[in-house]
Amino acid sequence: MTNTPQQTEHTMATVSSLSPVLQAERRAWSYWFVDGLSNLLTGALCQLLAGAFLWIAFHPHTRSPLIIGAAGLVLVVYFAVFFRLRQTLEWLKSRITYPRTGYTAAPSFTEDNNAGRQPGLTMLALSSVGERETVQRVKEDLDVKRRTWFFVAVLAAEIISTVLIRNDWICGFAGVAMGVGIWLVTRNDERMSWVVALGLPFAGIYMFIFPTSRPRVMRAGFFLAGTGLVLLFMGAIALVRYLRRNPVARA
Amino acid sequence: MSTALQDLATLDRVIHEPARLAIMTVLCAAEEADFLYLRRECGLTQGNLSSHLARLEEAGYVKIEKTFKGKYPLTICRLLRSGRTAFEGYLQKMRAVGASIR
Repeated sequence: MTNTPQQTEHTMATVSSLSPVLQAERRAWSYWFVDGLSNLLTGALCQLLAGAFLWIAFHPHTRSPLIIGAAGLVLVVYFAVFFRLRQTLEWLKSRITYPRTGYTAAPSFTEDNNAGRQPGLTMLALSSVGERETVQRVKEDLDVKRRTWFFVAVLAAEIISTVLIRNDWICGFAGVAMGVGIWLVTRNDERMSWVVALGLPFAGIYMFIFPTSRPRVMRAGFFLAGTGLVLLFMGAIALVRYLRRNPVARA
Repeated sequence: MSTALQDLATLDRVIHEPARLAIMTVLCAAEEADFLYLRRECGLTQGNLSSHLARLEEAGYVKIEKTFKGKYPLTICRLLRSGRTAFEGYLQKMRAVGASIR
């Protein structure tokens, strides 16, 4: 088997840049979110939890076995889905995503088989474009971790402040602050949708409707409902876009 | 002829073919991928992908497995350790050749 000069030139161009490997890795990673199902499911979980909170808020003194049973059932369903989120998503994807655009497992999802994998990729980085890009890649990984922690910390602060601080403006302020903060740290990250940055201020402002005279559990419930709506909206947009772009593949 | 250029002759020809190089790149980046995903990512026809995958499997670089995700049948392809090593070696050689040409 021989290679034409064009083939060799093409191969050299491919190898002289790290981008094909990293691009493929990033595409594999973002493939999990391409159909919006993870956002839809997380949004649905938020709604479920919000429903339980609001149920308790609207029936604070009821000891009816029916209400207690229903609240318990909601919590059981919530935790059942929450702890089997990955399996539930796989089940949905096997019906919606895999028949359309195929299946791939991003590296981070298969840690069991991952022994020696990262050094391999690092070696590829070194061998292809040199240390500068490798350092860049490590920096990006650190940035992702930092952003994730920032997101978790802000979300926790927001939930605690809306429950503890009895002020009509706190939810709106927290929502706007969180939206601006998330936009600031994720503005260069294509994996973060603009709907999140816009949706969180919306969720906060939306809670102006529910003043502090309402019980804390009710405010938390409405906040979760608002956040869940944002996630559902974001997931629905992604799913519709995905379904329109990818009709079922024919064998 | 310099050593780097002599290395060109010893390149792994199984990987050097553009379609197989694309397949190896995708499989190196993802832990595993099914036939449809590979076909879309690499822009290959079904027959083309089949034959190239068979060649890579024959060389011991790729493992092909038929399985199910729910009710959906999948032909999953994984890069074996030998395949990863060969791919890394190939890239190193190409880099050396590239440097010598410049």
